[in-house]
Amino acid sequence: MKRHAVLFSLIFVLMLGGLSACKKEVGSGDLNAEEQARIQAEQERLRRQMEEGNLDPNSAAGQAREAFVNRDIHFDYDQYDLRPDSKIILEEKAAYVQANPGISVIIEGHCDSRGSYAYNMALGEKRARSAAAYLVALGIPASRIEIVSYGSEMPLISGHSEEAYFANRRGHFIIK
Amino acid sequence: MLKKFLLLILSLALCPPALSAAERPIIDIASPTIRKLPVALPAFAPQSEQTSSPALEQGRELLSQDLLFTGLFDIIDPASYLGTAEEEVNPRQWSRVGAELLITCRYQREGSVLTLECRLYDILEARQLVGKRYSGQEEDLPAMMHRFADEIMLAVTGERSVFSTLIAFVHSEGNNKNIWLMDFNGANPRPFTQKEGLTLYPAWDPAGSLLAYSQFVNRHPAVFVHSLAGGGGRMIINSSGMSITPAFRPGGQIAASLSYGNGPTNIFLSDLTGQIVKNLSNGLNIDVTPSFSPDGGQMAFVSDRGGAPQIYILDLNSGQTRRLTFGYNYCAAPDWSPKGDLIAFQARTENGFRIATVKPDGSGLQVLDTPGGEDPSFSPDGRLIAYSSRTTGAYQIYVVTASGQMIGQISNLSGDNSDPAWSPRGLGGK
Repeated sequence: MKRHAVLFSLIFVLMLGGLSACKKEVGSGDLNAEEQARIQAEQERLRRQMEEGNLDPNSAAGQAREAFVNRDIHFDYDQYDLRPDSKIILEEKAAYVQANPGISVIIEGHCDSRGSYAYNMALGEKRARSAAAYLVALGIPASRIEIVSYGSEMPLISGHSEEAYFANRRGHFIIK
Repeated sequence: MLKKFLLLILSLALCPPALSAAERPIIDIASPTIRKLPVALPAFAPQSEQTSSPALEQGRELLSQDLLFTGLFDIIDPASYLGTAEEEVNPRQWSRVGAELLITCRYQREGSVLTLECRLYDILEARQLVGKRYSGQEEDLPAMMHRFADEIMLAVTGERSVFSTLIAFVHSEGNNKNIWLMDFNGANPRPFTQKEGLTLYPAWDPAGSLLAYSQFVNRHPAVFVHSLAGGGGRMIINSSGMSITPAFRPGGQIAASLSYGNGPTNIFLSDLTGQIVKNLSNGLNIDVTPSFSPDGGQMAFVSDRGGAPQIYILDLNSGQTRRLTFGYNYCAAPDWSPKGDLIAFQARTENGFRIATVKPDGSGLQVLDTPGGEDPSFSPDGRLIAYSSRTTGAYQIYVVTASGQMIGQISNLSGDNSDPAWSPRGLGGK
């Protein structure tokens, strides 16, 4: 399990690399803002999870599960293609699902609050579908993946800042 | 001259006077620049001193608000009037203060029964256009005023307006969203569905007896049909993925955007029991929010097949699809006017989303000068557009005329209030 922790740290570093590469590519917001949004989003998620009381952050299994559930992938505005950093996170998700044959996952697609509500419901589904297709390509049976969309109906962070938009354009993972 | 005028008043109280007026509308509402008609609306007058009731000032206020809601009238300041509703009508008294139309209401009480006699006069032609008598209880006063306002519109434009209509919309409370109803002007907001979770995308059937919507069931939205008479919602389409944005097709069918399992989102046509009749779109793109032409022969919808969301029109007879919107990089939420002549939608501009209109052939695209603007819905007479905007923070519902004259904010509720759907006529106002 310690090896897992090392692996996750490595992935996190890679992920940050992916982020900065992406920043140049899309030129939207600065890295600090995105990082802050990510940290804020993770804190918010953790707080919600802790309130629900359904995980034990002290056990190693709990930590792995927590990492699976709490780390979202993010999308560029009005896009459903996977960003390089998202692919890395999905590879980590795939490893977790492979290592836990008993589980099935739900992928939730979400959008930021800009744009048409109805169109975003379909866009969120397309985002979830992109993530699901990548997991399937990595060897996860489609039967273990359910995709759902909440469009822009369930923002993680309220407000109309670039940070909030970034945090809300997400694929979120739930273990059934 | 005056003698003839008085005779007309007496006789027209007996025969239905609106008939002749309807043949020749005073305002050509198709005209792009509509001059507002100056109207005199003096205080309602009691038939006798004994029945005088200050509460009737509310009636005048309601009628005044209804007229202003159409964007067609200016009400002349009562302080300038030379006459009253009690006196016999002297057209010169009213033309001297600039009135082209005069509205008088006289009332009478017998026990709890309130009787109103309301008249509309064409001052320039010195004749009565409408005369109506309404009897009811005091609480029927708003309904009486809305009915008479529609009669005024019938005489002036050739068609009744919105005063008997409702607006369905999405109201949020905590993590739940439900379908609510309110009167055309935002009065009497009340829940229509009361469910946990998300209930979205209200759509009226052409008769106004049913609302369709999507409700999330076990994480997946399904299409429901719900009678206004009650009985709760009936689930008719529950694809294994999403079933969203239902729209009634005139003639008794429903189109909705459906996905199956992990597959793409396309528009399908079903009968009213949810039996799929055929698919109206194919492919891996997003195709959502259908809206039909009044004859049901064409369907506007949003697709990202060209990269970004734009509005397309499918001709159901030929099967041909063409792109409708150009010049804006994000166009969505089309609503085809019940009059058939315009399609309203939301266009992203430099200043954010605005309501825009375009003719079905793609010409005459006009962006309205609205604060914000999403999810437009035409009134049944095609003159007004309800839409949602969050320029004040939370979403509220606003009304603008189809030519771009702002009428105002009509919802004033907590939470988000969005995605209005304007009903056909004949539902509201009791």
